Amino acid sequence: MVGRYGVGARRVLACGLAVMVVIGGVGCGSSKAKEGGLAKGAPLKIGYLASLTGFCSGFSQDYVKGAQQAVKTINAEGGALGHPLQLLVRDDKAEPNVGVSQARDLVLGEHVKFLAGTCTSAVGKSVARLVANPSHVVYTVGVADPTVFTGSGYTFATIPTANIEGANAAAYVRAHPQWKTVAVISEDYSYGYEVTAAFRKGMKGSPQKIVSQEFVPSGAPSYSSYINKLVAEKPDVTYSTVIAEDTITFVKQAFPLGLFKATQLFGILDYGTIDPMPKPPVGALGYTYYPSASIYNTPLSKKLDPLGTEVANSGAAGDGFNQIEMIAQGIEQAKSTEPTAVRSALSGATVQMVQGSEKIHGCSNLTAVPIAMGPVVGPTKALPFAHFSPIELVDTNKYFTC
Amino acid sequence: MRSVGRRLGPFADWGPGLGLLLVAAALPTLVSSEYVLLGASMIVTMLVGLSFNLLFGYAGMFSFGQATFYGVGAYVTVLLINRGGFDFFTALIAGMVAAMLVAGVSGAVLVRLEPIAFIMLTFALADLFEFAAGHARGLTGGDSGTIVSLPDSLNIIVGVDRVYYVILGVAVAVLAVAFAFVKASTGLVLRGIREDALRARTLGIAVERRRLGVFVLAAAVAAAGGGLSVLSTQIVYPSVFAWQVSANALIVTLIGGVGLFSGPMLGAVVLGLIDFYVGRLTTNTLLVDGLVLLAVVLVAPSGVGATGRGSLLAAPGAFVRRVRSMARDARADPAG
Amino acid sequence: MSFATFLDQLFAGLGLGFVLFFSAAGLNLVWGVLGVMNFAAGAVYMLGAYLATTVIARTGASTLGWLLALAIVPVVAALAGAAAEVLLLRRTYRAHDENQQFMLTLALSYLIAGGVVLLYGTGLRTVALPASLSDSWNVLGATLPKYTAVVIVLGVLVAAAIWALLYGTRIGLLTRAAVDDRTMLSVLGVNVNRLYTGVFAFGIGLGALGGVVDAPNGAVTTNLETAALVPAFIVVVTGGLGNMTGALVAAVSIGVIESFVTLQSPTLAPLTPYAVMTLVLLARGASGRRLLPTRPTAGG
Repeated sequence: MVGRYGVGARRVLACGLAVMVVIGGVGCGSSKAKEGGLAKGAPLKIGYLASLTGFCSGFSQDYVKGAQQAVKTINAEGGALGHPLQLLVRDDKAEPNVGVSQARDLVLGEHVKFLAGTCTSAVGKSVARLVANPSHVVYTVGVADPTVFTGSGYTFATIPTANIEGANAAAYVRAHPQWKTVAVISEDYSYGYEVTAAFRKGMKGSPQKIVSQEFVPSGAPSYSSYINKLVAEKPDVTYSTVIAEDTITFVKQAFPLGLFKATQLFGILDYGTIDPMPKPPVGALGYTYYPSASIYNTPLSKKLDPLGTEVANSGAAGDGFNQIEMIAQGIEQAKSTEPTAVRSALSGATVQMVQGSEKIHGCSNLTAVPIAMGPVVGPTKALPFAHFSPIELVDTNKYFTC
Repeated sequence: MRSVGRRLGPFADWGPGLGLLLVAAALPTLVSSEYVLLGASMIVTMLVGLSFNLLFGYAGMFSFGQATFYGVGAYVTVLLINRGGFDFFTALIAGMVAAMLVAGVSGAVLVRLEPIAFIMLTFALADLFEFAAGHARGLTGGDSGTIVSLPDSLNIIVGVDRVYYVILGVAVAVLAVAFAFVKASTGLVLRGIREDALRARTLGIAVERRRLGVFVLAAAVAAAGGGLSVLSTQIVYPSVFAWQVSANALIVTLIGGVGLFSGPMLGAVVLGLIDFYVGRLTTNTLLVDGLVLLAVVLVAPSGVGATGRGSLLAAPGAFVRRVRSMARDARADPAG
Repeated sequence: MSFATFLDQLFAGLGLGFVLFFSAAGLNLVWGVLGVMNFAAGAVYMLGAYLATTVIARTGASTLGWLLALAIVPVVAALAGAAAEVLLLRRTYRAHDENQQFMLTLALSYLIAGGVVLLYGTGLRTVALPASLSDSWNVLGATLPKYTAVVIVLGVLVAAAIWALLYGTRIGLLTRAAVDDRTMLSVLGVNVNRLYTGVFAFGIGLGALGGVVDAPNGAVTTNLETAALVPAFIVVVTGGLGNMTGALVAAVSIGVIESFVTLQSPTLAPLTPYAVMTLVLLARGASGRRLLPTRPTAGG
C-alpha cells in the first residue's frame, strides 16, 4: 500500500513539476509587451495558412512557393515601406479548429498583423471571424464563399466568389444559343451549391434548358456512375465545377466511357489540374481565374518564372503570390504598417496582381480579377503543358453591383 | 476515513489529474494568452477523451463514435444560441441533454452488439451525423459551418482568461460527476462487466442496462466538450462529427493510460503540447507527430500515467527485456 | 431503365466493388488472422499508389511499366511490413496488448503519410494507363472500360489466390492453426513468429497492391489514405472478419448497390457502404466464419 502511494506521489510531483517547468519556461519567453508601431527596418511578419493535408493539399505547396516568391521579390526591392517581409507558414489541415488555433497563435504568439492563405471556405470563415474585432488583422485569402468577406472588412478576396463564377458561366452559355440542353455537374459541398445556384440564376429567362443537375461527392474514387448518366442524357453542353483532384478522376474515367463524344464539356479546368493529367481533355472549354503565369504578360507574372514552368503555371502559386502582394501594396498605399490604415487603403484600391491592374471593390472587399476562358489544347513547344488556346479574358467588373 | 481512501482508489489513478487541475487553475497567471488558449483546447480534448475512457477503460466498450455526442453538443449549443436566443449555459445543458437522448435511443440497440459491431456502428452513427450536418444547409450552415454569436463576456479573444475559467469550471464539474460515478458501486460493477460479462450476468447484474447507463453518461461528457469547444473555436462545422475526433479521444486515452482516471487528462496535455510545438516547428506535422507518437508508445506502452508494467518508470527494464527476447526469438521459438 | 443503362451501371459498380475489395483484402488478413486492427491500412494503400507513380514515371506509360509496378511495389511494401512487424508489433502479441497495437498502427499511418509528403511533396501526381488499356469495349450496347475489366479480373485472381493459399497449402493450414492455438503450434516445432511475420507482410503487400491497381483511376494524393481506410474497415466487417469470400461478396455488393443508388440519388450514394454494413451487422452480428485468435471471452 505504502509503496504504491509512494510511486504515485512521486509521479504526481514529477509530472506537475515537469508541466510547470515546460509551460513556465515557454510562457516567460513570450510574455512580451504589446508592440506599438514597427521599428525602422524591422521585419514585418505575415502568417501564411497552407492546407497541406485535406482537400486542396495538391496545391498547397504551390501556394506557399508563390507566397515565398512574392516575399523574395518584394524584399529584393526594399520590402514594404522599408520593412523586409517574413513569412511564417503553418499547416491548417483544412480544418477550421486547427486553422483558427494556428491563426490565433500567429496573432497572439508571434504578434503578426497580417494573415494570408487557406483554400477552404470553412477555415477562411473562422479566420475571418478572428480578424474582426478586436484583433484587427488584415487577411487576404482566395476562397469562393462570399460570406467570408462580408462583415469585418478586414478580409480581402484574391479570387472571384462562387456568385461571380456562376454568373460568368451562365453568360458564356447564353452566348452559345446553339446549346439547347445543359447538364450541370458540381461537387457536393458549399462551393458546388453556390456556383450552381448562381449559374441557375444567370440562366433564368434563357430558352436553353437545364436538363439535369448533379452533385457528386468530393474525393470519391469513382465517378463512373455519374458519367454514365450524363452520357445517356447527351446534353449539348455539360457545365462542370468539379475541381482539383476530382477533375482528374472525372476526366480520366470520362474518356473510356465516351463522355467527350456525347457532350461538350465546359467548366473550371485550372492549369494546375489539367497539367498533371496524362491525357488532358483536348477540345473541352475551360476557364480559370487562378493566375497561371503564361496567361498574363505583366511585370508581376514574370516574377513567377523563377519558380519553374510547372509551378509558375499551377495557378495556386500565382494566387499565393497575389495574396502577399496585396498586403505589401496595401501597406505602401496606406504608408503605414497598422492594419486599420492598411484596410482602409485597400478598400476600393487598385492593386497590381499577376493578372495586371485590378480593382478591389470597397463595398465587398472582392477583387474583380479576370476569368481566362478558352478551349483546352495539349502541350506545345512554346507551352509544354496543357493550356487554353486561344484565350479570352473576361472582365468581371460587370458582375459587381457596387 | 479508510473506506474513503479505499473508495478513492490508488493515488496514481487520480493524483496526476489533480495536479494538472491545480496547474490549470493557475494557468493564466503563469503563461501568456496563446498558452491559455492552448490550455482551453486541451480541456476540451480531455473531455472527449474522458468520454471514451469511461466506455473503454471502465466498461470495456470500444466506441469509435464519441464524436457523435461531441458534435451534437456543439451544434445544439450553437443553434440554440444563434436561433433560439438562449444564453450559453442553458444551450450547453440542452446540448448535453440532446446528446443523452441520442445516446439513449441509439444505445438501446448498440450496447447489445458484440464488440466489433459496436465499434463500427458507433463509427457509422458519427458519419451519419456528419453527413446530415453537412447537407442540412438551411439548418446548420452546411459544410462551411456556422459562426456562433457570443456576447463579449464569452468572447475568448476579448477576455481570454475569463472564458478559460468558464471552460475550466464546467470541465471540473463534469469531471467531479464522472469521478463520483466511477468510484461509486456503479463504476465497480462496470469493471466487473468489463472483465467477464458472463459471470456478471450470472450474478444477476443487468449488463445491458449498466452499459446503456455509462453510454449515456459518456455522451453527456462528450457533449459538454462539444459545447465548450464552441467557446474555444467560435464556429461549428460538420467535421466536429468526423472520425478524427473519435480517434483523438482514443489517442489521448491510450497516451495517458487506459482505465486510469487521470489518463485522458495526461494524454490531452501531452497531445496538445505535441501538436502545438510540432505545428510551430514544421509543416510536415504528419511525420513529426508520427515519430513522437511512436516514441511515446515504445517508451510508455501502458500510458504516461500508468504504474507498473508498461509505464514510463518501467521503460528501461522493459527495453532490456525486449532486447534479450529479440535475441531469443532469432533462434527457434519454444514458448510462442 | 434500359438494359444498356443497367449494364453500364453494373460495370461501373463492379469496377468500384473490386477496388473496394483490393483495399480490404490486406486488412482482412491482418485483422482477421492476426487480430491486429490495422489503422495503417489506408496509408499502405496510399503508399502503394505513390510508389506506382515512381515506377511508371521511370519506365514510361507502357504496359511493361504498369506490370512492373504491379510486381515490384507490393514486394517492397511487404518487406517494409515485415520489418515493422518484427520490430514493433511482435512484442504486442504476447502481451495481448491491443491498445499498444492501436497506437502503433496509428503512429505508423502518420509516419507513412509523413514520409510520402517528405519524399513526394503534396502535389498532385497521376499514373498514366498504358494505351492498350485506355479505351473501352462495347458490350451489348453498354460501355465497359478495358481497365475496369482488368481490375475485375485481377480482383478475382487475387481472391482465388488467397483462398487457395489459406485452404490449399500447408502454410495456409498453419496460419489458420496458429490463430486457434499459437502455443500448441510452436510446441509442434513451427516457428510461429516467422509465420505471423509472413502473414502480416503478405497483408501489407496486398494493401499496397490495391493502391497500385487504383492509382490509374484518379489522382494520387495523400487523401487516398482516408479514402481507402474507411471503406476497407466497412468491407471487412460486413463480409465477416477474416472471411475472404465474405469480403469479396461484401465489396462487390456495396459497389454495385452504390452504383445503382447513384442513378436515383447521387447525394445519398456515399452512404451506401454504411447502410449496407449497418443492415448486415444488425441482422447477424460480425461473426461470419472468422479466424480470430481465441481469447478469454469478455462478451456475454
